[in-house]
Amino acid sequence: MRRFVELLRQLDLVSPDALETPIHIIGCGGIGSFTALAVAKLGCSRLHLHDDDRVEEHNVPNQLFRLADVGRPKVEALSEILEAFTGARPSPHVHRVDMERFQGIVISGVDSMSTRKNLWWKAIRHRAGIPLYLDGRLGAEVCRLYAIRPADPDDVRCYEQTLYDDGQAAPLPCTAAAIIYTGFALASLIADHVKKFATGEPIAREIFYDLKTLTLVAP
Amino acid sequence: MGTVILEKKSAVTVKVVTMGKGITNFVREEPLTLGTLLHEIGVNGQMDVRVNGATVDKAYQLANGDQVLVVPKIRGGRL
Repeated sequence: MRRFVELLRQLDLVSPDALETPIHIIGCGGIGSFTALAVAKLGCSRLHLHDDDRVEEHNVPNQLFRLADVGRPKVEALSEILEAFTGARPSPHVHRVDMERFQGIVISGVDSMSTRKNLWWKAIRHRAGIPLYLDGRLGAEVCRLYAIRPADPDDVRCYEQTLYDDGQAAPLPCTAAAIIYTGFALASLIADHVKKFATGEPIAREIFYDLKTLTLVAP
Repeated sequence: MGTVILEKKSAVTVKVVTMGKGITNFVREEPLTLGTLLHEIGVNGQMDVRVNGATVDKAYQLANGDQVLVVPKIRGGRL
């Protein structure tokens, strides 16, 4: 009952019944921690958090974690934070995703192209149990978001053209790799995609968003 | 007295949005190809480029009012 009351503000946007699809968030750092907060607040209650990292001091300024979380597994700390915010506790999985067979929406917030490629080839590509795969990337003030149906050949072909090597990526100073407001912005776009999926609205396959020039493009 | 016809070159104005950096309007004489523009502004393989939202060849001839989007290839998610 308490959760229902908390979700009333979202009812005009999307029915909680439409948000029953499980959501797996891979990587709970600069993208994943804020995304988890956004979709949990939206009313997605079947959340699974996957990451094998622990919270470090340098994560505190640009991720959702508190100083008191330093040293803890990220997924355990994040699960506790989200429960405090929403009343629902996501399932934490302290591991590195490899050959899992996911059922539900998968959101990637990993920190390198090599990890992203590994995730795609081993656990996402052509998997009919994943109706929507969201891959968020951020650097400095720029975000990219890909929304892919892994069983759709056209989506697969387009997405694989975006899997460039880490060496081809634009170099960024460490302090610009994950800026807190860019993480919030990307999390908002991802939550919006989850809502659109739940309500059957069209979803853009590719979005570029730049806070520097205030440009949002869905080619 | 004969009529002298002067060849008048027209100019194209192209809006270049370099994500993470800024927005510039380039005015150049025609013809202007995408490759020429990218060379002039120093775009390399660490960037994706779209013209009016579409991926086009470097030989594509830019027209007045075209918008060129330059997007860095980014990989990150956390520190």
